[in-house]
Amino acid sequence: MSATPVMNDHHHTHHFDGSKNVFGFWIYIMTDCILFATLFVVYAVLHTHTYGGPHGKELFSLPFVLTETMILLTSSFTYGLAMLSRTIGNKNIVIGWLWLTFFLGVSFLSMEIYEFHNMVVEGHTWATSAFLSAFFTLVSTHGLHVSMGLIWMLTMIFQINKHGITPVTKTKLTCLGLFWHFLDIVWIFVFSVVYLMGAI
Amino acid sequence: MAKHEPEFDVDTGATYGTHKSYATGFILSVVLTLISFYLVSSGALPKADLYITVGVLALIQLFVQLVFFLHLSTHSKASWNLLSFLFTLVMVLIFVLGTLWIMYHLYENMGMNAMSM
Repeated sequence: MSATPVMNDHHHTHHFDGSKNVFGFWIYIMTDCILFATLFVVYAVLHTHTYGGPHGKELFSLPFVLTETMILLTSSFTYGLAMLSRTIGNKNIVIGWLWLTFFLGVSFLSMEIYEFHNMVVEGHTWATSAFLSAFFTLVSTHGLHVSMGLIWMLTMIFQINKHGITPVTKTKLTCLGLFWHFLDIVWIFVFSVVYLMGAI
Repeated sequence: MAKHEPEFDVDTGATYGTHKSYATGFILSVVLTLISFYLVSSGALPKADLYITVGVLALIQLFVQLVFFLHLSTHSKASWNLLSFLFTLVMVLIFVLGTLWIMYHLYENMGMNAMSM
């Protein structure tokens, strides 16, 4: 029994070790938490400063945003399924789940852009009031992260298609997974603090 | 020792959960989201209670997703992940509560009734 760990250690020195990459990426995500926390608190301080313009209550459609929330939540789940199917030995199953996650992410982003477009067309832009500046900054920072996640997901699909599930692609897939689940958590707070509390 | 031991991947040092844990996390998240949505859209509670309830439900969902999706655990192999998370949590609380505290008093002292919370 006591010899086993030594043998394992020896074996692993020849092996790609992605654990530091994953931990490093975790630290990046922690710094992103700080970024979002500051944007949230700016929104909390400024959300009443509408400069005579509309409040969130008049601008937001809750069923629309609930649909967005459910789509993003489902995409987090399907990403988990992609991650879990890595052991099956068929890379196409992983790629299939990744495509589904990608299209759910695109749907989410399209709905967000549609919402922003409608607000801007009606004259409620980021220049209208401090409330809307804070709103657009917070929500589109999240949207920008989702866009980056989607580009990354496309590159992952191509890499797995080319190289299969290797220690390297698995490490990248793990980092993207942390990123994607993190964005879902941030959105829960956007949904609760901006949209739901805005509608109370 | 009845607790199920998480499996750490040899290549990434990460743990990935199971279909069951993902399904549990997903269903809990959907239910929590729908409760928040229902409470706000029906206006079932007084305003002040709604703010608190929606906030608490969001925090519960944060916990659910941290455990079931990000696999944050108290396991010793992942202790640095947990420690860096707790440190970040303290920073976030200082930023958020500190800012709200200062700005609330600023508004009050300037006779603005702007912070409606």
